[in-house]
Amino acid sequence: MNASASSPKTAGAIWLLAAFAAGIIVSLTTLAVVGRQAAEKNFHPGFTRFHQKIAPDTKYYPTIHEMMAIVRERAAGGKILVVVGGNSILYGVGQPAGHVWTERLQRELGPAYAVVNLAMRGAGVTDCAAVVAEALRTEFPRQIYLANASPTQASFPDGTPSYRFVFWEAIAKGLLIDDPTRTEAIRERYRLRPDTLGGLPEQRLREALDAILSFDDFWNRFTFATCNTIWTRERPVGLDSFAPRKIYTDNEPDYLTFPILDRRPTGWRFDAELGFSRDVSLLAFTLAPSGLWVPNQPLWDALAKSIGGAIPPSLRARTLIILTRNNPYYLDRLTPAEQQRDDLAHTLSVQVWQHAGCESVDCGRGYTIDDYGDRIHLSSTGGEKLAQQIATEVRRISTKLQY
Amino acid sequence: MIFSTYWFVVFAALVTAGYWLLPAANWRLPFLAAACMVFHFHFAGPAGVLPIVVLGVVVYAIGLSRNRHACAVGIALTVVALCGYKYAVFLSHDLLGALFPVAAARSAAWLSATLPAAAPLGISFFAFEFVHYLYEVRRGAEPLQSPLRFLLFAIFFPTLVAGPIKRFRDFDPALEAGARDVGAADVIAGLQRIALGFFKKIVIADNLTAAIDHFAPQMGELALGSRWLLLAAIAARIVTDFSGYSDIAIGAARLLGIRLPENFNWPYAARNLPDFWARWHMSLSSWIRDYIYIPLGGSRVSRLRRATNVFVAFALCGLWHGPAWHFALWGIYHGAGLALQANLNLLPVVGTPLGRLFAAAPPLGWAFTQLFVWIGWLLFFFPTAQAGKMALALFGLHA
Amino acid sequence: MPQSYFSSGRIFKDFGRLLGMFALGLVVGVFFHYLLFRLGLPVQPFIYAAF
Repeated sequence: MNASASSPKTAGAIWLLAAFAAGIIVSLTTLAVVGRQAAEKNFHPGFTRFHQKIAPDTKYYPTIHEMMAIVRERAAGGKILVVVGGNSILYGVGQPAGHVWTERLQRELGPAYAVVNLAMRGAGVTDCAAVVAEALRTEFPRQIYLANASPTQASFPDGTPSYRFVFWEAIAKGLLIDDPTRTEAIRERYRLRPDTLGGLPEQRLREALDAILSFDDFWNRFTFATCNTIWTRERPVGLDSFAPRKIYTDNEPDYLTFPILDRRPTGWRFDAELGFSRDVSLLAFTLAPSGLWVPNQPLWDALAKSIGGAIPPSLRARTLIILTRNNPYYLDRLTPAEQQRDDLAHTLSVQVWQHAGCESVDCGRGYTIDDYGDRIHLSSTGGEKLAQQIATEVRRISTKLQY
Repeated sequence: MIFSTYWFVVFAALVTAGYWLLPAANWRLPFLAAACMVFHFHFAGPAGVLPIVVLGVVVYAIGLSRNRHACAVGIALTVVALCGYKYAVFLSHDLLGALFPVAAARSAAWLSATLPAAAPLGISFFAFEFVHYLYEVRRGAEPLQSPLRFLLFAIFFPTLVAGPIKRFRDFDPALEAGARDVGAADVIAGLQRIALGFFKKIVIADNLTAAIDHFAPQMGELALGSRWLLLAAIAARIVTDFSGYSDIAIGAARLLGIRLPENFNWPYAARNLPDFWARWHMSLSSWIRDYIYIPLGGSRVSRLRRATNVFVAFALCGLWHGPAWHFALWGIYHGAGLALQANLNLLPVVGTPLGRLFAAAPPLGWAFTQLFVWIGWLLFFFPTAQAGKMALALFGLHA
Repeated sequence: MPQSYFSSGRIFKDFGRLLGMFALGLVVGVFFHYLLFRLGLPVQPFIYAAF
């Protein structure tokens, strides 16, 4: 064996291996460096929001650095940063580009503020935008993070399963606060609900490798600017399927152009939606013999506890949680007792968030049927009302925090 | 997923590094065995590990005994285990159900309560390797004495999930040679092979799969040319997916200096059906030849018997792919094709001229062979009725 | 020996081989970098892993 190790043939092979390995190492190192630089600058010109063609819905997963670069560009020049998170309601489903509520919010607040909409469909309070804002806490100390929630909705400390990749990417890159309460909450989450663990170990392995090799940043930019490497049925014709993502525009439909019956359904669709509206506060209270609604305390305690594990204490004062309401088309058809319960749920939820040290506001009271496109999403007119209400809140918080 | 995971990437890198860094060659095989156990447990879980451990211990002990009857019992046991885990529900539901619906319903309920939701990982592959082992020992081959060597034969991680199906008399010396002589050239070849395999899978096969999933349900609405393009995509998908897998397995073993049998040799260059099967999933087709076709009598029997043997061997080959009728039909389709080709000159009127034509114009033979194989993939991938409709649509016909 | 090695032109041949191997390494490295990205997106299971 030793004799063969020193034979000319083996010696030659070792040199070839060295050259081959050097090629691999040079490639990986170069792409890692380029990847790191690729995400330093914003490559989403005129960004409004992560519309469907640049969102996980179509297998595009924005990286933390990619999102941070968008924010950096927008908030440059010492502006007060307003990062918008939450779900499709704050994303602006039903509000076409140019009429998104966050664009209106920006106009309301003026040039001293920079509003960035990083909300995503189905996201929660602790997803994407929350992680980005936290990662930028030192770079942009004058920041307000806002997201929406329904009254008793508990928050996952590391995000909802669909979006937790952003949290774990930020953890792997050392961008987040080391909060022992959150760490414990994450541990408890997966201890109590091992079924939600899913592919998390794989995800964490990926993020650990990505922290070294920056492949997500490099190839996301490549996908966006040069060539989408995954066949997509968005343009299922020949090589067009691999067109770069940048060619797609934000084509979110306008709810106001939808037929009225779509927005105000009747029959079984109405019954189903009415049921969902009823369910918003169904478990939150029980009716006492006295006729008063009594809070279902374990549920509210769970909400309070989840806030403790989800948002580090130092970030709570600049966190604004918006409790959005359902369309009055449905709420008005609930019984008076159910309407009262719905009101109480929103009021109590605001108090719980405030008690935890966050800011919270109840939105949607007094909105009309036309302010909604469906049961929960706002039309452009509803978005304008929301923008006005939130602008007032943002200014108040800015003053309070001496921004 | 298995190979397409970060876990596997990191695992393969660590195992290769560890294997290389071990100061003595005789430590490499125990190290590799430990790594294989980790791999097996990680992907199969306790429920998937147990059957192979139990069956493996039995097969190893029987092999050591060299008793011909015991070997036959061991082969039967392995086949029963394979059928029990993989085909019991199918046999009970589809065969028994047609004759005795009530009894079938009872047995289905019992089976679903007794059997795991999924068959143990790689059972189709390790069962075939065990059958081969016992068959050869029964015929007088020297069994593997070392439990370590047998363990490595049974759960060698690159081949555990989907082959190539190994032969122990080739694999055992390859293990020995790998541990002793692994060199720089192996690493270069292994990494290139792994890269090629992933390229075939991730870049070609997965993109084709997405396109096929989109277009296949609406095949009838496509232009005729696009329908044929879809068929070509299906044919390209399966070869890139499976040969990609085999490349990764062969490459991962090569990093350790261990040579595995090849599984593919440009199957779409085949000029006739026997040639195709000599190039496609070679480790399976040679297994079918050695352990089904030849024991049935092979080609040393009458024309009719020979045709029947081909038919039976390929029906079983089809069913090996999964407990479903379309797989069985796919196998029968190929069996019928092979039988027809072997007896072409017996066909009245057209037989002899056709035979002469194919002999005179080899490209014609190639075209017919590929047409036959590619249309066969419709049976492989789709339920029988849908495959039939798709095949008709290729010729502008609508069912 | 060294003289004949240089004068015979083998040095150029060997250097060419090394350069070729380096270039191949570059290509494989780029692909591995992409592979690490791609594995995190939805991938189809291997067809034969189900058998």
